[in-house]
Amino acid sequence: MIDNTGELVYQAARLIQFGLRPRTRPVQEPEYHQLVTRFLDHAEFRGIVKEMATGLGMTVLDASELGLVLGPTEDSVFSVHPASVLKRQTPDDRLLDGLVQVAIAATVFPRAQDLEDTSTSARPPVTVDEVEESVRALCQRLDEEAKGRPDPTSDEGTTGLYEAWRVYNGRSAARETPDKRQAARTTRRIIETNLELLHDWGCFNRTETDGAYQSTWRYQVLVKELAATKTHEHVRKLLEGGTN
Amino acid sequence: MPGWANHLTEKTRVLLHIIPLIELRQGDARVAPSLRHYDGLALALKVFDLIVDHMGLDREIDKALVLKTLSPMLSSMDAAEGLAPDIKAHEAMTDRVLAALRNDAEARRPFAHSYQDFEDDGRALRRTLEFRLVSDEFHPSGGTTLRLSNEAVNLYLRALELDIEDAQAAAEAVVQSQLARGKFDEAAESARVAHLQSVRYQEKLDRILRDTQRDVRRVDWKDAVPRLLDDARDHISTRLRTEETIIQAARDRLEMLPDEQTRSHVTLVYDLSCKCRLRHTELHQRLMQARNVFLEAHERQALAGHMVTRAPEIYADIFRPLMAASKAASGDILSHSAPLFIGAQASPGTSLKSLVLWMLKPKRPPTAPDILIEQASLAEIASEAPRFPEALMAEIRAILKGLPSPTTLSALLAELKTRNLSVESRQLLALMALEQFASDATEGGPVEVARSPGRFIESDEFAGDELKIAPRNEVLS
Repeated sequence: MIDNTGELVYQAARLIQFGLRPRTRPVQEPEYHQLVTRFLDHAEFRGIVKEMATGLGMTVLDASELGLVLGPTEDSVFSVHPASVLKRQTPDDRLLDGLVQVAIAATVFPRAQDLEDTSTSARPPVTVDEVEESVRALCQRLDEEAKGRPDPTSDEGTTGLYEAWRVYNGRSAARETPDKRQAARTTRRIIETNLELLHDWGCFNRTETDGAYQSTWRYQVLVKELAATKTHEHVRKLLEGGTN
Repeated sequence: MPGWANHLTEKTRVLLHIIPLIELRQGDARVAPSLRHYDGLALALKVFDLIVDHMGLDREIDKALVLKTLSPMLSSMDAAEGLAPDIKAHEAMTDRVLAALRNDAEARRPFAHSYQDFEDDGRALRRTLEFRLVSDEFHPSGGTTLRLSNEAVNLYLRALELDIEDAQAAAEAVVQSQLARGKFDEAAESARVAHLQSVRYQEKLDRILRDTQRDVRRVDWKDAVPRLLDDARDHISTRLRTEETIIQAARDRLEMLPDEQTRSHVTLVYDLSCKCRLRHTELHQRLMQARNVFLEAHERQALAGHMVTRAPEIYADIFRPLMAASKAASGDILSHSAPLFIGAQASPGTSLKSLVLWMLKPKRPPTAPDILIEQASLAEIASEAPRFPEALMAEIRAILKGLPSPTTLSALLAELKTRNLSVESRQLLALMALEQFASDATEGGPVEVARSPGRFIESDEFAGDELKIAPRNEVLS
């Protein structure tokens, strides 16, 4: 009995290790495939994997023949450090990186019902243009709503009271450098960089269509089961606190 | 309602599923003239057939495969109109058919059609049915593949029979169809899909029970769940019967088939169907206990406060407030949230191999800066840029050359200042005087320069020993 438990724990740990490799798929690794099948078929093994993941600071968000998706809990060692996601140097640039991450998710899932759809259905691919247009449209609406209110002072800009949309609105969408590259600080380039970052983390694939990115099953599960609800909780607290 | 039976509502719902196909056919007359001779409905049904035939197989069904499959039919339709096959037109028509089946026009959302229903008391009311026909699904190989929805499978394989949304029935219908058609390898893969559907069905029930335990108000135990449990019991009974039929059919085939490979496919169908049967038997036990879960959760949560929980709309509920919030508040939330979009990742450890490989990589060329650089106009310049403009140098040289009598540097500097010449000109004068004082040139300059012992420059801009300056060939005393 003890031997059997040891074997189950070993296999559970192996499955978690596979889950931590976002680009590895069960179809490529027979062992991963067997472990996922075991996870789906055996309640006891499923329980051990979930407990072990919890102990390590992770949550099993979903499992299927496409793999195992793990989400980090608060302060988990498996949580990517914000500096790895928001890589740029200035606070404004880091803010734009974060906003663009949410804007990408909003473009992939434009309606609440889309989040309740099955995770195995691939959402339509997104492009840099689509994300840019959606954010610019919101900036325009917020700009119109702000008309009639006093313009923000320069002090508000430095103390952080300036609204986030003004930072985005203040950046040009595109600008070329003398050697015909896109300037790094333009919004289109920021969106592209973030999509590439998500691609590197196994969240998007580049499609054959020029400039389009296809969200992966892993990303869709992460947004549905973790990122959207957690971020929404933070936003709700912010709105309830009435601070702006 | 008297005169209106429930099965009429069910049949209405079934019929609504063909509206996208009818619309595709009606749209044939409105497309570009080069595509009008193609029959969208026939092509759509061929797409259904292609997907059913490949369900569960390793190969992805992408646009290229659909195009390859439809090409002979499209060429035949071209020939009937006396046209030569045109690959661009074939591609355009394939895109049109797939777009219509996926509802690309509505961002691939489900088709939504309203229909008439009647309450038991005879009240008429409109309901809306949402469904999909074809969707892009993730394939284990990492790409996406076209899949038929359960509704589309049942529509295609079972025509107007009822229970059109039953995933398990859809999967098993495919197995039965493929077994009957002698497609044993496809049948084996489809049996795997049926097995996965049974796993999903179990997960669905587990989720309802889990949600009930978390928050009893998230689950409708008044109407929806009791109905679902009743349906589930009926479903499981039917599935057990169907699985028994498949198991029996597979067993019969096994006795007749001589080929070892084909036998292995049918054996797999047999094994998977047995697993499905076992799972459904277990599910039946859980269903028996489901009501107890509700009663216990209800008792436990009766006095607890509740919050309404629903999926947030990312754009309206998250993104807009973040954009409207202050930079500081928004940045604070985003620093916590951004890593969640990436998921759990193992931080890479130190690797000697990676370090060595990195060190062996050729040096990357430096990246050009992003700042805009003014393009300079191209012109020949000396190897050293002159400190003073050529015109100014000529002017000072002329002043020195035109000296009428000996003087001092201080006097000359004062004169330039009086004439309102720039400080730059006075600096140049001082430099030229010093140059002449210790000249390397063998030829003489325009003036003679000597030190004036014991005297210092009288100027608020310069300091140092005074210099006597005289026209060349004048003797400096």
